[in-house]
Amino acid sequence: MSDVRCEGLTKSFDGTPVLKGFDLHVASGAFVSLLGASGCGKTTALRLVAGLETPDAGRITVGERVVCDVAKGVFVAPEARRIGMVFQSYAVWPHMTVLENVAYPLRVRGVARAEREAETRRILEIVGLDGLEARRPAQLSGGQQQRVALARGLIMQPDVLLLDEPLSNLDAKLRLKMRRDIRSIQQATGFTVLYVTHDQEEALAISDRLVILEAGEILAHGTPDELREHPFLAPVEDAS
Amino acid sequence: MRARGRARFWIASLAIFVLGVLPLLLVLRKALGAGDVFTETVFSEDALDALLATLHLALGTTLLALLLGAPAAWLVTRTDVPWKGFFGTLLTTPYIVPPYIAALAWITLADPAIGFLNAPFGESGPFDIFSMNGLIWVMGTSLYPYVFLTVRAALESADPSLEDAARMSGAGPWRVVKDVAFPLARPALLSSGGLVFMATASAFGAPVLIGNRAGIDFLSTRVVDLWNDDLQGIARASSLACVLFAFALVPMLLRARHHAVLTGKASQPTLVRLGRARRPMQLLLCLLGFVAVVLPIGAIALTACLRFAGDLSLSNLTLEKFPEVLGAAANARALWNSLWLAAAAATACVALGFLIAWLQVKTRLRGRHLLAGLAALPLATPGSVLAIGLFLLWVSPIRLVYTVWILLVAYVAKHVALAARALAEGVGAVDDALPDAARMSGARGWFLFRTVWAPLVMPALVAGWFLVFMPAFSELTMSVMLTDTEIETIGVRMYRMREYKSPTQASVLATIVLGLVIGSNLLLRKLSGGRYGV
Repeated sequence: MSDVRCEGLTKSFDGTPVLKGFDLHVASGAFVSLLGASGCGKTTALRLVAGLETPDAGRITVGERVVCDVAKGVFVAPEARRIGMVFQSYAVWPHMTVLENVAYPLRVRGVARAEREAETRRILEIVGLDGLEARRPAQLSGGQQQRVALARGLIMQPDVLLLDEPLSNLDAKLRLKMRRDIRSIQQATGFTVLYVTHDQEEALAISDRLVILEAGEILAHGTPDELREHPFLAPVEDAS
Repeated sequence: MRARGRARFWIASLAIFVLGVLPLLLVLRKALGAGDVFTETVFSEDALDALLATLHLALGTTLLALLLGAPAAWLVTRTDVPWKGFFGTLLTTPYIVPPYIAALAWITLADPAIGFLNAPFGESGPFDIFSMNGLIWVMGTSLYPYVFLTVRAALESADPSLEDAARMSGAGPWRVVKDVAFPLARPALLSSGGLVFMATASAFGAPVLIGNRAGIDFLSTRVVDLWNDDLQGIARASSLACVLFAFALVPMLLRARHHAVLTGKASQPTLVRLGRARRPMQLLLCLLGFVAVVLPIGAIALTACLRFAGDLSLSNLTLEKFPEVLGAAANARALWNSLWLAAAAATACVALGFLIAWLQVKTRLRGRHLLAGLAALPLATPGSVLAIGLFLLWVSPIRLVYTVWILLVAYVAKHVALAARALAEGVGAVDDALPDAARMSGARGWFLFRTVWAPLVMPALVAGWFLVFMPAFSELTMSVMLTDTEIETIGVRMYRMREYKSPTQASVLATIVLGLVIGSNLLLRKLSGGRYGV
């Protein structure tokens, strides 16, 4: 298992600062949510950990390994970080079947076909998609696509799983169920989770710790119980 | 309201039927009614040779266009190659240069005896443009923007997280191209490849300018040859025209299976870091831009500015040929004809195009999509085939052939779909409540159009106008076939000059055409804020 440590991450897009010296430590096996309004920099922080963006300054460590250190010119490519990721749009490939989508990370790593398929079926069972192996994404519901994306993120048994608003495109009932499922899979397997959301109720329910971001800076962090009365959380609820 | 829409629908349908559909039916009737002449023509050895040559040319051109256009599109959308905006503009320029002008340019460059590129090699140089490969080169370098633009649009609209997800699954940048980007771009590759195939099979100008001296006949050039032939010319040309028509439409039937693309929020794609390959890739794009754009356009402009042909020294440069060429009454008349015909055709196309777009987007009349489809038929029809049909229709009892009016009819018929397409987009973007509110205020008909519709769709109106003006201004195939020497357009004038071996004059005219077309495109981009034009 690995912890994730971000130190002094700074990032601007076209001169507009999005993150201003972002420091975060996610303990090994913890479930940490980044909470904030859109544009607060939470997705950017996630993409920096993933390696899909490069920071202007700062350092990122996953476990013992420095994956990015601007000062020393260290940058590990995203495909070499062994981090799983679930995208908000699911990013399920339309030209592959469910099985091919989920098995892809193993295929890239040259795992033999028989082993690959056995492992994929095992994961599909965990996320509750067994029997749908041969389907195309276009034939799946939103919730099913979401499970494909989750299975694909889990299959290489990453130490760290990044989730970018994975439930925001689902209806309310499904959201509750998926939330419980993600949490129970995580508790069974014990990987570290960094979870981005703008839904505070969801963040309070699912996480071990919360980090509240505003305008690229950390406003507060703590356990759900510590933050339940935080002024940032109360007025927004009224406004909606 | 419903009834009024219906009346307009019938007006538009009648116009499209007379302009584009009836002429094609007449070609078909002529061919099928020709009996033995039909079988004789279609199954002759000449026709077979022309068919094979056309197939060779079209396949070769399609392959070259895909090889040039697709990687370039990927580089400018998905990697960190420098100068993207510049390459985007430079590499799409051939889109608006008519292929016959590209052929003129490459003849100046690679004529085995007097081409610029062969000059350093003495008597006979290594480049021979008068060959099948030479023609494939000309067509490929002038048509690859179809591929570039289509693939670029497909990559830009694809959800970038599809590629990010592959990175996160452990795939390196090249693996992502192979497993995700390429399969997702396949529909775009197939459809743009089909377009290039169609455009090549239909082309007349470049194949005749180069094929004649190479001794190769193509279906399109053969049709025009037969057309100019003896008594049975019309029947023979019509027969072969049917073959050409079927041939050019083949790619339309090969509809690619489109992936239902599941889009998310549009985010900036993660650019592939080319690393050490960054400079070499930039150089490659520069090279493509130089070879496909700068070199041919430069050759035309340079030839136009030489006092004596062949002498490339600085003291031989002059602008005196421009007033000299334009001073010739025939040239000035041809330029004027092209200008006013293209402007009139563009105006008519925008009017008819608006009607078609409005019917298609804002009414629920049955047949509105069929109308739009039929309006696009002449655009997909080879110019030589359409010209025969228009001739058959307008020779009697109403005689327009051999007058300028037949050209106006031809330009409108051929290009109305371009205006309709641009306007359908513009009209679709207008909220129904806006014209409805005007109608509730008592506005109707022309007043409603002038006060509400026109201002709201102005960018699309302007775009539609220019999108017709540019190709109509430089149209060649139909203009050659439907006029005699009394009436010339600028394209016809250039074509005939080349035949009578006057490269300098032809180059001066070509430079003027290029200046006008490229200038129009820049103006269009400026007016529409970059939304239209290439």
